[in-house]
Amino acid sequence: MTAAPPPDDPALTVRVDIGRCASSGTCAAAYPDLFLLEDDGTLVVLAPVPRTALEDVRDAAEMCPMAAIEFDE
Amino acid sequence: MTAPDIDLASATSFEVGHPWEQYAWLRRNAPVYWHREPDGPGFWAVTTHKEISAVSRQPRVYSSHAGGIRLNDPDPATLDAARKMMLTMDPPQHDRHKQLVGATFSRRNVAVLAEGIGRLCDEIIDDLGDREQCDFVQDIAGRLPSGVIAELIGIPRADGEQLYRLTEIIHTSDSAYATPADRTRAREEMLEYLAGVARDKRRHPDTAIASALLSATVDGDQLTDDEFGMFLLLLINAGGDTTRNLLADGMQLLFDHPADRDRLAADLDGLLPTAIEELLRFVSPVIHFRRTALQETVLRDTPIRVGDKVVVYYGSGNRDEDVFDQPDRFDITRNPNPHMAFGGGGPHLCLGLHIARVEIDAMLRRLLTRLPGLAPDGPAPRLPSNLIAGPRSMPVRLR
Repeated sequence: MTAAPPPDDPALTVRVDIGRCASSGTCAAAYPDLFLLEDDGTLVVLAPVPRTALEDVRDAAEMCPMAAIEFDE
Repeated sequence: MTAPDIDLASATSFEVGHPWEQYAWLRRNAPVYWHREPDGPGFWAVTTHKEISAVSRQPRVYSSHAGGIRLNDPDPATLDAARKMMLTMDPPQHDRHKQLVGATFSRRNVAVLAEGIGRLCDEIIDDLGDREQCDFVQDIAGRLPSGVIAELIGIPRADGEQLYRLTEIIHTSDSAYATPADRTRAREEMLEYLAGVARDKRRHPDTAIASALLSATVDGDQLTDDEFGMFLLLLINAGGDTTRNLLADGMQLLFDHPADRDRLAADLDGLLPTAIEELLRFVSPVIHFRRTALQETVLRDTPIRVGDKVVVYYGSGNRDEDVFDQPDRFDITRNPNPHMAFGGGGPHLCLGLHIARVEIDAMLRRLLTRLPGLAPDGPAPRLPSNLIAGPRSMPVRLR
């Protein structure tokens, strides 16, 4: 899943490697405004992710037990 | 292949290890298998990687809270007590509890703990002195997780080791070794000790996890002494004999594969990361967890009714031919290795997966270099349990 920023929007690109994601819900529990875990276990990035959320995204990526969250600053 | 007798309910089926033949037959012929139960309603035995993952990742369909996480139905009092642990909670309650300890077990924090864990491993080996023989389970493997947990809780290491002995009783299935009454007594003894910890830490807070838990709030409330006790009981139980058994069965695997052991010892930095994952896949310390269906659903074309017990077998998922090439081959370089030793994903994915890996890495590294003559020295009787796989003792020669 990729939240691609429109050309002139300073949004962050946040990707979840669904091959690695274990649907633990760690990111969605900590940052419900950035990540949504659907009932079937699919993780969705709630795009667009504003640049102001950089620290939150960094923290979510760090706490992910599977290291499945990647982002471009 | 002729159908083997299928019995995944009784502890005797696990006396000599996981029943790999039964698993293989079930995966091929009945991945979602209706299993009769002598003293219960029966259950669905789920043995394929994909379906174990599906059950694990849909907690709103497959509940941990409704009937607990063990195959055998608990009595109401036991279930009531178990529901105070996040293992036996569903989201969102589960997630609120997990957030209390999430930071303690994060990759970042575990990296900070690694040095101390390494020191503890060295001390455990130092304590063996010039002994020629020992019990690998009691004298080496068991002392590591109990020492780490004692450190995390902020209690003396000797107390941690006593708590871990109680864990073994709590995890044993019905047998001459431990009766249901023994299990209840062991749990009560543990909770009594932990109530003392709560009193002590309220009076003298420190930097360990116990003090943090006592001051934390869930839904605006602080944890009660009961909830606190069950929280620590879960950490002790989940982190204790699982790690111990992984080390013991893992060492046995290296005894059985001497060429791999030599290769690993010669290139620890290069091979240990993939070797640890392969040991986890092969050993699968947790045999099963159970869920209860909250709604009608379909699992691999099989209709599941409301209230049905659904039991997933991680060891079987770890040998699934559809996911692993030559699944019965022990390959310390296997990569990728999407094993289920830490669960099938979902909210209950093992919280301790980082710390477990650090413990295993630290201990194997030292065993392979400091005790190159380590060798088996007699039979290793296994824990009679349909829940946790591992040896109760494992005699070894040290040099």
